[in-house]
Amino acid sequence: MTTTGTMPTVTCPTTGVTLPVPPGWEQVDAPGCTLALAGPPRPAARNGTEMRASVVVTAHPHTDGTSSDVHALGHAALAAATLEPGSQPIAYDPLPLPGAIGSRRLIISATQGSLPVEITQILAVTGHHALSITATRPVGYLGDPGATTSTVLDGIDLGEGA
Amino acid sequence: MSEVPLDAYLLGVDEPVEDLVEILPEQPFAPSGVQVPVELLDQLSPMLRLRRTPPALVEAGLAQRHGGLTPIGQHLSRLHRDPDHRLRVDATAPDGQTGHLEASFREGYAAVLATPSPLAPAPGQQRYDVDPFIDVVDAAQVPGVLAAWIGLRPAWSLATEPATFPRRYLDARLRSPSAPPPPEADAHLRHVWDQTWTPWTLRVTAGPTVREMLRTTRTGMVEVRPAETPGDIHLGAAHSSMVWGELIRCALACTV
Repeated sequence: MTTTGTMPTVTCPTTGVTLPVPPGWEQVDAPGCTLALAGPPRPAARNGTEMRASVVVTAHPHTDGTSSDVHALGHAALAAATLEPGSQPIAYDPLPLPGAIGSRRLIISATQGSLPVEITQILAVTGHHALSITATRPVGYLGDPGATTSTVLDGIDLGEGA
Repeated sequence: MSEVPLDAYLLGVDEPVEDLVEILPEQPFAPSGVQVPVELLDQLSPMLRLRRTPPALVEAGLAQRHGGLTPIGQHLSRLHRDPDHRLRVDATAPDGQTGHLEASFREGYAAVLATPSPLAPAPGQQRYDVDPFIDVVDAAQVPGVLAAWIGLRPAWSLATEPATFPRRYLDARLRSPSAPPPPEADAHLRHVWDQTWTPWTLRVTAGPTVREMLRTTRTGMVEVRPAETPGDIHLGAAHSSMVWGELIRCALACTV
């Protein structure tokens, strides 16, 4: 982990993607992900159930046949979002992201266990990879800064190797 | 070359983006909970002692066959009769039928009372003037239920001109889909005007808010606000992410 400005950052060695690490957050292991961060446990329901907000990065190099077309990347993400019971795509829009050939933001209302969550997926096609940066946070208690993922998403840097 | 279908209107104005209507199926609203005649809900009281308990309440698990309310019935009664805040959405189907969703908040829980939704209708003939479904949920679940009920989904919002015009054009369009837009309408406003509209309103007791909205097929949610000049309105796109954020803010405001 390095520190630039006022907040520590962590960089994925595979893709060059750098994410800020807000106070209380830490890098964690997540199978299949090139980089994963998790926030502190926070109450996410009236019954006291706790949840950790998270941001995970997955990457597929174009050399493995993954499409380099952002339309196709978005289409696949939208289709996947409708497959999970209780999952509802909410919003979808282009998201200008320096270093990306094309990018989209998809917001999904879903449940994790019995907890209502908001999933924000940043989809980006770079020169080498199809990237998916997925943030999950509880819908309840969004006023809690410890549960926010926007600090991480607002600080995404795709890196010079994008 | 992408094989993903692109939005024909936006492709025509040099914006090659996905055809979200084509690639994303509608998700009909599926009510949860039990279906109870609304007049019986209004009779619910923790002190309920009826000579003969209505079978509908017993079947719904809200009352005991020979006595008062069940624990869930008591919980629901408190939420329904004495909430801290309420939130209500009303919508009008193209055939004039109305449906509504009401959430009553208290102590971190909400009683959600919902008819079938004119905004996220099930396929086939749908009646909305039926007994509502009622469920007790964690207040944090309300934004998701609301989003499903209003049929919130990805759409390409358009910045339209003029932003302000006389309300009579909107009222005429709500009465008849063939009513024309204001003469000075730009191409985007004419495209919005050509969509199928379903009007809905949101009212929240936790604030002065009454929002008047339109759900349009291809251009998403559109908000109607009164303009400074009496008789005029502002008509503007409300991007799905903004509407989602507003639903969360409203539910949180009703919770605290």
